[in-house]
Amino acid sequence: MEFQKDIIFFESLDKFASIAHHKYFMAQLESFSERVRQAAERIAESREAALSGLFDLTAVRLVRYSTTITRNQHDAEDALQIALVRVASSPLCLIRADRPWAYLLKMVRNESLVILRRKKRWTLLGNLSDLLTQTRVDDSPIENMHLEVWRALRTLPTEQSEVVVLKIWEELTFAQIAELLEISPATAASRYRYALEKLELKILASASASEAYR
Amino acid sequence: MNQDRETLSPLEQAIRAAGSFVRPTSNLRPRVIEAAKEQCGQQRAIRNATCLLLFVCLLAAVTAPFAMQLADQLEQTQAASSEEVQKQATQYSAQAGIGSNWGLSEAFTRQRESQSRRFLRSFTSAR
Repeated sequence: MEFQKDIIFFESLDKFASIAHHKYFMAQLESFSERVRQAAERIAESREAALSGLFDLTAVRLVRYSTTITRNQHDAEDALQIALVRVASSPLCLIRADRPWAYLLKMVRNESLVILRRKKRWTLLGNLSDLLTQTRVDDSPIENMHLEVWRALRTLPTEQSEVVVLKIWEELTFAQIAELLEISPATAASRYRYALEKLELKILASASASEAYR
Repeated sequence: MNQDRETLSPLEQAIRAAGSFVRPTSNLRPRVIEAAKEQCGQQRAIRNATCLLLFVCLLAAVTAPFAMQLADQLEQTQAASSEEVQKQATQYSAQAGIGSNWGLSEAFTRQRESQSRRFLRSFTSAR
């Protein structure tokens, strides 16, 4: 009887912790979105001179998201440039958006898809030479791991890789991802699950191959 | 934006760590700002030109009736030239068989009558 009580207590504690974590995470996301809105408001006040603020806030995240769509960092940077120039010329669209960060992600996604359709280039899936990386000299094993992740991500279909990116890097919920990609939350969740299964297999395979090589 | 790492699987953690691996090229920032300046400059120029055009159209629309009225008034109060009066005097003297002096007098009389009628018409239309 006591044992059952303990189980119920720990289950409710776990549920409470999960809700608290979710609330904290949502607050963080809202806060970032609010910072994006504030940056857009500064652009509206002082025009393109304030664009650097929005760039510094979002560029790293937008480039890595766009890179997973275009599969080329240079194209991703072009997409980012087009989107940010559009924001500079009409910042009200970002200010008036319910979720400015999601809106900006969608803008970059649309520009990335336009570039992708226009170029239609044949890319080497395993080729990561376009990526500009930042690692310390003594971080070689970590860099290899990161490269494996990026290589595996590039082998996924775009619709799956972008769900992974939005879920893990941008920390969006499936409902938010669904809204952004105009799909149902269940589809977003299933794409994420399939993507992780594939990624696990690919990363394990490449790890075992490199072990065998040694 | 720190998601609790304990809720992520090792694979998700590895993917998450790889997110900070890629960074934008160093020239992207100035490139974006320069492109934005150029775009906004072009937009400003187009907006200014449009405003100027609208202002000119509005000015023309507002001043056109006044200008037409002014031209009309000028035309109505304008006196006939000496050639016209001379021509009329010759015409009257030939028609009525009178001397050129009486013809000139008749031409001036009719000219004054015509002037007063036009002036009266412009005065009533202005009111």
